[in-house]
Amino acid sequence: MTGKKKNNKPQKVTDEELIARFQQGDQQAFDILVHRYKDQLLNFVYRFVGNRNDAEDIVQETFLRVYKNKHYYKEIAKFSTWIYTIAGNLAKTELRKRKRRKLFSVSNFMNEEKDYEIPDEDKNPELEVDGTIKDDIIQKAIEKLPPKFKEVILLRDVQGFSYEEISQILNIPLGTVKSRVNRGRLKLQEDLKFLFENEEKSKEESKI
Amino acid sequence: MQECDKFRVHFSSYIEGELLSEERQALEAHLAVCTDCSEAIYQIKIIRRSLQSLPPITTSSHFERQLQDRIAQLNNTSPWMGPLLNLKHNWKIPAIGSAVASIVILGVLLLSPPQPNTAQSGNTEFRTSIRQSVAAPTGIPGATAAPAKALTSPTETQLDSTKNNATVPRTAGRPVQLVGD
Repeated sequence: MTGKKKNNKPQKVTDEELIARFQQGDQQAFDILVHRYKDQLLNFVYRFVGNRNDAEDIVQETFLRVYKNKHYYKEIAKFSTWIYTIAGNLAKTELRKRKRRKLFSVSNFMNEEKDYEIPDEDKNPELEVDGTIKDDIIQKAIEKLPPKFKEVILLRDVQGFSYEEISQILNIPLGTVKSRVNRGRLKLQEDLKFLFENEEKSKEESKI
Repeated sequence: MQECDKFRVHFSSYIEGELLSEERQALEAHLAVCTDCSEAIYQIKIIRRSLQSLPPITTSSHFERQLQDRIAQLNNTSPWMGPLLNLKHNWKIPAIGSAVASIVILGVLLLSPPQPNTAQSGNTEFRTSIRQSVAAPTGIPGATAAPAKALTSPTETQLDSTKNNATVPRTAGRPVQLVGD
């Protein structure tokens, strides 16, 4: 695994060895896998569905699926790829359910999803001191992305997977992953460019 | 703008330093003259940095305990309950099965050749039963054949009515009266 996960301490036992031990009935191996993956999966799923409780439920369900279907795992794929595929599919199912609920909910006909409010202040309150965008703003922008862009952006830019790994997790060609990452980033930029327009404005005003 | 679109497909590769030198030079030449594209690149870099620095969240303290409970529940489930629990997730299979069965039954009912004079025969049966009940007021099933036959043959009925005048009630004797009077 790449990105952020590379910074972890070197692991004595690989994930693949652990799942192999679990397949042979070693319950403790499963517990170690849970301990290794619970937080990183939660971060992925939370950014995907935007609700912490739902995210935690989905991560639990992911581990239950691993537990029930341990024999379906084959060593040809990395364990991380397999478990992220399960979590990603569950997260997408949750979003589809919500979409259906929203379609049938009368109240939602009245309350359309609110767009970002363009700030009026001279200083840009949406940007942090270090120039990055505030968490809640970036989270809202992620949530607005269509699922096919959202999943690749989260796997690439938040979770730090390589393009090859994303291709395996989502079972789509490498070229499609690259194209979706690019389009997802452009979409985010399009949605958030107003923040920078405001930044430009405040820069110009400070010069005067 | 069309030229911009041509370069926009390479933005991610450029940012991640994966663009081949020839393509990179072409893009950089474009960025030198296109403010929109150079600003977009700058903004994407900031967005990417913001995504990478999102604060990590951790699972709640009861996460593992709760998971263990759910696994224990799973292990304690009796074998015959499995399919029932699965129905919650795989409800489509029985639902589709029922729908197909209903369509087949409906199709058979609609496509089966209609029985001739169904309504008429029903009326006939009804009339026959009325006649039978008239002729056999006691309601004894075995006593139906003879009176029904009697109604089809007026002469015999006439004979019967004369013979059984004392035992047949007034209402039951009406058809006989029509013939006899």
